[in-house]
Formats: sequence, C-alpha cells, structure tokens
Amino acid sequence: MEYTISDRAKKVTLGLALVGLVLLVIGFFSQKDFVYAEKINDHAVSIKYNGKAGTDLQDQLKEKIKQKMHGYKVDFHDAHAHHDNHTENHHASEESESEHETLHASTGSEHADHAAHHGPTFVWDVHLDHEETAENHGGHHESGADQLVSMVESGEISFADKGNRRFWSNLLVNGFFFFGISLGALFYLALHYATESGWGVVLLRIFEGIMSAMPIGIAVLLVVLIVGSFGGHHIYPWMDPEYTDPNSAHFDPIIFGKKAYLNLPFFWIRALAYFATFYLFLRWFKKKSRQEDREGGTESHFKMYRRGALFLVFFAVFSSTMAWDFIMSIDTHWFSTLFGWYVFSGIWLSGMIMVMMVTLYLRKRGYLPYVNESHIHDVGKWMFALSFLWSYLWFSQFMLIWYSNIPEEVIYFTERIENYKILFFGTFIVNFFFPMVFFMSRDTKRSAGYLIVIGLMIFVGHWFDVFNMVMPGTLFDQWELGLLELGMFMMFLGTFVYTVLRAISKAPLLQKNHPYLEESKHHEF
Amino acid sequence: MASHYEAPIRKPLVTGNKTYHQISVDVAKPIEGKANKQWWIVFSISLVLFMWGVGCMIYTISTGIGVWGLNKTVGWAWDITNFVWWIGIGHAGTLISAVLLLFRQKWRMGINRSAEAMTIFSVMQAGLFPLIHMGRPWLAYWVLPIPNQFGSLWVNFNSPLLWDVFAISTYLTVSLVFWWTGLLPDFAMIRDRAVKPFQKKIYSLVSFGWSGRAKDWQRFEEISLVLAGLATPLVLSVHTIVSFDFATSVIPGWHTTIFPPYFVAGAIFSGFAMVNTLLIVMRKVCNLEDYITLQHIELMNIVIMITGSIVGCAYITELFIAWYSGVEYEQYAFLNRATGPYWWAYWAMMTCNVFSPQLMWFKKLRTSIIFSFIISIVVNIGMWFERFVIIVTSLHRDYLPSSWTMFSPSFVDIGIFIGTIGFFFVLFLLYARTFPVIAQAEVKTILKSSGDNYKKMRDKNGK
Repeated sequence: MEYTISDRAKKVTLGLALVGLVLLVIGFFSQKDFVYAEKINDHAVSIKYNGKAGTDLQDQLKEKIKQKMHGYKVDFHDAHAHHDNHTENHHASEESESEHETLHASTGSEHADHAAHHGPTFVWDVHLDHEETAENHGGHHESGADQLVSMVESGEISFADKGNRRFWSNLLVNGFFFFGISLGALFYLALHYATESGWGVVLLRIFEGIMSAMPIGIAVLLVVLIVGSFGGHHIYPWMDPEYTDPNSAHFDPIIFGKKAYLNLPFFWIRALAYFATFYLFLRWFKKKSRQEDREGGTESHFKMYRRGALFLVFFAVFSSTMAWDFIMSIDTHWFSTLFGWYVFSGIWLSGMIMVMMVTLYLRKRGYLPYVNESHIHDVGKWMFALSFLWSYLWFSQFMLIWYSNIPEEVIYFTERIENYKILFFGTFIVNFFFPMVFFMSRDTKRSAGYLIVIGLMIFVGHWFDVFNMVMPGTLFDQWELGLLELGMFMMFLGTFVYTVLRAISKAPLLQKNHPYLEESKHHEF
Repeated sequence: MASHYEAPIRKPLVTGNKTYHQISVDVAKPIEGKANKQWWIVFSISLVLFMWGVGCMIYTISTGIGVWGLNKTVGWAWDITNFVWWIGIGHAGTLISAVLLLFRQKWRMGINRSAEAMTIFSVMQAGLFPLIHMGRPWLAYWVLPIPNQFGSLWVNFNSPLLWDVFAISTYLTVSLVFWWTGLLPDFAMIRDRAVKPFQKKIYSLVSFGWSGRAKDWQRFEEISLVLAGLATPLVLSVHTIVSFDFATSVIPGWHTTIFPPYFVAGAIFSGFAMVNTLLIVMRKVCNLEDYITLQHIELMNIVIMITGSIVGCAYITELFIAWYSGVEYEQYAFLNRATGPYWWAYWAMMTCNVFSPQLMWFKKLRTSIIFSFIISIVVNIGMWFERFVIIVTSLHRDYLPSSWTMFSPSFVDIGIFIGTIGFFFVLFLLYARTFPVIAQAEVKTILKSSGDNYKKMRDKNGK
C-alpha cells in the first residue's frame, strides 16, 4: 500500500513551519536584550552584560546611558576592580551601606560561578549624582537608580545581542533534538534487525521515514558547528583560542588540559565521522529493504541482521562521544561519565514518541491495515519503559553528584537549580510522573487519546530536557522562553514532520518480503 | 503470552520430536531416579568446602574481624568484593524470567527455572558477607528500622548501605515468590506422577494444591505478568543501589556517575556467565540437551558478548573521563589502576571481561559448547577481579603516602569465599535432584510453535 501526503497534511505541516518562521523572525527582532541592571541603592546601579561586546560597543552603551540619564552626572566603575573602593567613593547614604555590601557580595559570588564559563563581559557600577538637585526634588519621587533599572528592563537601554547567543543556542537545541529523533529511529531499526524481532515489521517503513529526516538535523548542526568554529558564536568556550593560549589574560588551565581532545581538527574529524557513519548506514538500510521488496528471499534480511549489529557497535561508541562533543563540552569544565548514556536515553525515547505519533496518524487515515492494537500497545510500552530508563539515568546522575557535592561537579546542577529551577525539576516531573501514572495501565497504552496527549507532553518535555542541557551553559541566567523559542520549535517540527511524511510516501508501507512479516501481521497478545 | 505464529526461519527451541508426555517424563526423570556416583562426588566436595567455610565463619565471629586481611587503609576488601560478586551473579535469573518475559523471548523457558534458582542461591551467599562483617550477626536486625528501646539506636536513612538492605531483601522476596509461582504447576506434575506416599505428600504441600483448572491458569498468567512487571525495576534497582555504596562517596575511582547502569550491565554479564556454567553441565548430566539446545547457549553467549561490550564501554568511558576531568586525583586513581602495583588485577579484569567476550562475534566459537563453558568461567573470574579492582585499588593509595598499603587476604578470607562457593553448589545440587529443573509447563506452551517436529510438519504442509 502506498501512502501519499494529503493536501491537508501538507498544509498543516508546512503551515506550522511557516507560522514558526514568522514567529521566529518577530521573536528574533524583538528580543529583549541581555543587559541586566540591579539597583544597589538610590544612587547606584550595577549593570551587567554577558554577551560579546568590544570596547567600542561598550562606549556606545555608556553614551546612551548618559544621554538617557540627563540631569545626572553618570560615573562608570568597572566592578571587576576592587569592590571596596566603590563603597568608599560613592555617595550612598549611610543607612543603605549594609544593603550595598550584601548586594556586592552576591554579585561577587555570581562571578565566581560564571568564571568557569565565559563570565560576564562587563559589570559596571553606575553611580548617579544629581546635577540640579532642586529641579528633581519637586516632582520626581522615583530615584535615578530606579529610572535606570526600569529603562534597562524595558529594553530602552540595551544593545542588540551582537553574538545572537540566544538564536544560536536555540538552533543547537532544535538541531540536536530533531537529529536525535531520526537517530533514535535509526537505532531502533538496527536493533530490530539485530535482535531478529518480529512484531514490529509492519512499522519498519515508519522508522525508515523518520530516520530519513536526519539530513535536517545534520545540516543544522553543521551550520552551528561551522559558525562556532569560526568564532561566530561562543557556545563552545574551548573553541575560543583565548582560553587555551597561555599568554592570554583569559587563559584557562582546565580547558587547556582538555586540548588533546577538544581541539578543532580532532573535533571535526569526529563530528564528520558521526554524521557520515549514521547517514551511510541510514542510506544502506533503506536501499537494502527496497531490494528485499524487489527480490525477496532471506539474503537481504541476514545482511541487514549483520549490518544492524555492526551499526550498534558504532552507535555504542559514537552516541556517547557525540553527546560529550556536542553537548557536554558546552560546560567545558564539567564532566560526568553517565552523560552519554543519559543523552542516548532521551534520543531513543523522542524517536519512539515520533514513531507513535506518525503511526497513529497514518492508521487513522486508514493506511496501516495490519497495524493492530497490539502493535500500538508495544510502541506504548517502549514509551513507558524508556521514560523509566531516562528517569533512572537522570536521577542517577543528579543524585550521585548532589549527594557527593564535589564543587567542580555540582556546579552544573547548582546553576540549573538557581536559574532554571522550574524548568529543571518540571522537566523531570513531567517526563517521569506522567508516563508512570498514565501509561502504567494496559488500556491507556492502547488508547490513541492518552497516547497522543501524554505522548506530546513528554515529547515537549524532552525538548526541554535538551534545552536544560544547552542553555545554562550558553545563556546562563539570561534565558527566555519567547517567540524565538516557540517559532523555531514550530518551524523545525513542521519541516521535520513534512519531511518524514514525504519520505514515507516514497516507498510501499509494507515490507512485503520481510521473513518476519507474517509474525508481525499475526501479532497479538 | 506467546505469539501463535512463528516464522519458519526461526530455529526450533525444543528438539528431539517431543510430545507433551515426553516432556513430563524427561523433566521428572532426575527427580524420580536415583543420584549417580558423579553427583555424590561433586556433592561431597561441595559439602566439604561449605563446612570449611562454616569453620572460617565461626572462627571470624568468635575471634573478630581482625582475622581477615583488612588493615587501616584497606578497610573493605574480599568481604565486599564477594558480596558484590554474588549479588551480580544473582541478576541473571530474574532478568531471564522477568525482562525476557516482557520481551516475549521464548527461549527463556528452557533456562529460566535454573537461572532463578541460581539467583536465589547466590543472593543468599551475598547476604552472608555483610552479616558476618557485622561481627555480631545476632544483632543483624539492627539494620532494620524497628522501633526499639535502645535509646538513639536508629538506622541512617541517608546511607546507601541501608538502601541496600531494603533493595536486596525486596529482591530476594520477589524473586522467591516469582520462582515458586512458576514452580506450582511443575510441582503438581511431579506430585501427580509420584508413586511413593512420602513424595506425594511433600510435592502436594509445595504445589499449594494446584488443580490445573482454567481458573488456576488464568491467575497464574496474571500473577506472572504482575510479578514480571515488579521484578523488572527490581533487577535494575538492586545493583544500582549496590553501586551507590561506592558512587555516593568522594573517593576517586568510586565516585562516578556511570556506576549505576554499568553495575547493572556487569551483573547481567556475570549472571549469564554463571547460568552458562551451570547449564552446560546440567544439560549433559540430566540429559536435557533437547530443551537447553545449542541455540539457547548461543543466545546466552550473545547476551554475554553484548553486556561485556557495555561494560567495556563503561571502563573506557571512566578512563577517558578521568583524564578529561582534569582532576589530578581522578587521573591518578585510574593511572594507578592500570599501571600501579595492582596492574595485574586490572589487566586480568580487562582481558576476561572486555577482550574474551569479543570472541563471541565468531559464530564458530559461540556455538562451541566447550568454548562457551571456558568463557563463562573466564567471565566469572573477570567479574570478581572487577570488584576487587574497584574496591581495593581505589583504597590502597590513601590520601597520605604514609598510609599507602597493599592488601593480602588471610586464609580466613579465602576460606569464607570458598565456603560460599561450596554452599552455593550444595544448594544447587540439591535443587537439581528435587526440583523440576525445566519449566515444563511453560515449555509445553511453545512446543507447537517452536518444537522441531511441529516446525517440520508446518514446512511440509507449506504453512
């Protein structure tokens, strides 16, 4: 049976992508900036910026602040310098002195945290003095500091995010997430062959379709990595030669110590090896299964059985190193031996959810006459079991690091709990409790309604899992969830699903000569 | 549970043209017959070893833990090594019966009974070690949070050692229930065949009045599924929590996040190896080659190969991340493992656990019975060394070079370990003489789909 994409499906998926693109553009141009202001007292504000900005841009911003704060004499002090100097110099009223001290202390500790990564580009203490005291005493009750803070918060005083960190970080999140879905499908297909499974034969073409969308993920990741390699963004600190140059002021001995592994030539060899290996296996599996359709017999099958096992060997190594390279190296100082397996569990699960959704859609449209409730139940069981696997690995990694509380390790979670608390724990709760509660029963794993609603929630939950892995290392506490994030996700989702459906329409939905086809057709339990 | 249709290219799981009746006869034979000379020889040797172990235990408890080779730096050595080793072996049984049940692997039916028996017997051996190490085992109930009059005596819920108490006792209970549930119809079969009144009495007691009515079977299937569902997370949890004993610490070489899944993989690895060791012998001695076929052994070898590779990936990951971390203590711990005074233990572990299972990629080797047997022993040696390496080499280089030591076991350490091996075999040999060692009721359910005679018949009829 052949599948053709209906006009409606085309419209919905491409429409989703298009609306996503529009939202993305709006979000991109309206994004709030990353200049952060914190009031110290009525006469002093601390201004922080974490992006990349040269001295010329910084001077422009200083000019802007001076303009906006007319009526005040504005002084800038670099807070990287000694804090105590400011306390002596500036004109704070005596009673707020102690408050000032504590605020300084807290900014200080934040520095220490971020120093492990890029660290803020600058932190200024801005001191404001009235030039015409009489004029302001009349009408304005708002202090100069309050005015400045609100102007920074509203975006009136800002500079554009020159590094576009938010854009690049989101591109990485989506690129990796959707690449992972295809990879998860490819992995399961290989596993199905290598384990001589029978039940899922009627679904294999759907796995093939989903893995066929891998070029999207590869292309996006390549763009992110190429731009990063040329210094276009600073997601990967180790790519920045400043950190590994012993003569540089920013020399980082820990990153330097990892140079034998984290250096651009070796990194690119690995990245290209992953993409090439996965893509070639993908092509080969598709080719072979078409050949089986034409020629029959069991020769192709046993070839795929062996090639499936070979793929798993490559995958066992590459899935871990890939997770270290693309994700773990964002927080270059940090390390966790479990990280690769943890990322892998998320990839596998996201792939399975996608399989479920596409299967339910095609079945609803009457395209999969051989897919019965038992097949759906089995995919549902995988979603259930893999959610447990993911939660198990999440918990193991988190608990062991939390329990031991070793500074260089626990910093990873400290940052996430301080700045991403709701997302960090929320992701775990959604991805663990929802499947546990709702998919425990046999009936829900056979009910399209439950599968779609809960499935989509944990699908989004796993997108946020990737978000939590990337953002704290690139945007620190300055993350946002806005049109940019939403638009880009929609764009990727629409394009991805469209590509998947198109790939499915290119081949018969049934692998008619698969030796286990009869087993799969008779699958029932 | 089992699928009704099986593709012709699948290999038969029951060979020798069996009928239902023949299965009953074959399974009941070792129980109804008399033990031969070899059985008595092996049993006597095991019993002697066991008694020797009991002697060493009594000596330890009456004299004190000082009779072991422990010292101030290495305060944990053979005791915990043996404990983890036995617990690990005890993983395969429940994995085979529960996880493979959920995966609908029919080949589990030939081996699950003995694998579960092995599980229970090895968990019992494991449990002995913490018990003896307590020094005063009669106070063992202190590890349980029981309300008491002893003032401040209360367990520490923050300690993974306590989690171990819960995890292992739960695991043992569920495994035992699962095992016994599966045994009911088989015990009933023996009961119904028994001619001696005493035997009949015993087997009707242990079969809990199984009647074989449809309702019995329906409940049996239901409870099997529920227990499988319960046992699956338990399989993972037990060794996960054993790994927490080490990984929650801050000792370089112990504290690493990959420990939980890697310990589980290692446990399954060693457990399957032990199943292979036992069954390769048992199928021969009890004439069960038609039920535990070469296909079964090959599949177990593949599981050994896969889990061995997973363990290998974890070793390499640990080694790599130790370097990558930039933490010199971590780096030293692993350098010391591979090249320090215990290098031989490390490389014994690497050879046995990572390299030797790779030979199973060759079909010729993994279908060779004698080779499988050798590898299964090699893997069990390797897995013992793995625990020894993790535990002793991480400890023996303490923070102060003045406290650097080596560990050498005393005869008591060795005696207790050998004693548990004896005990294990005593139990297993008794089991082999009195229990139906093949889950005959389950095997009968796959006879028509996977029996060689039925497969041939289908081929002939074209469907």
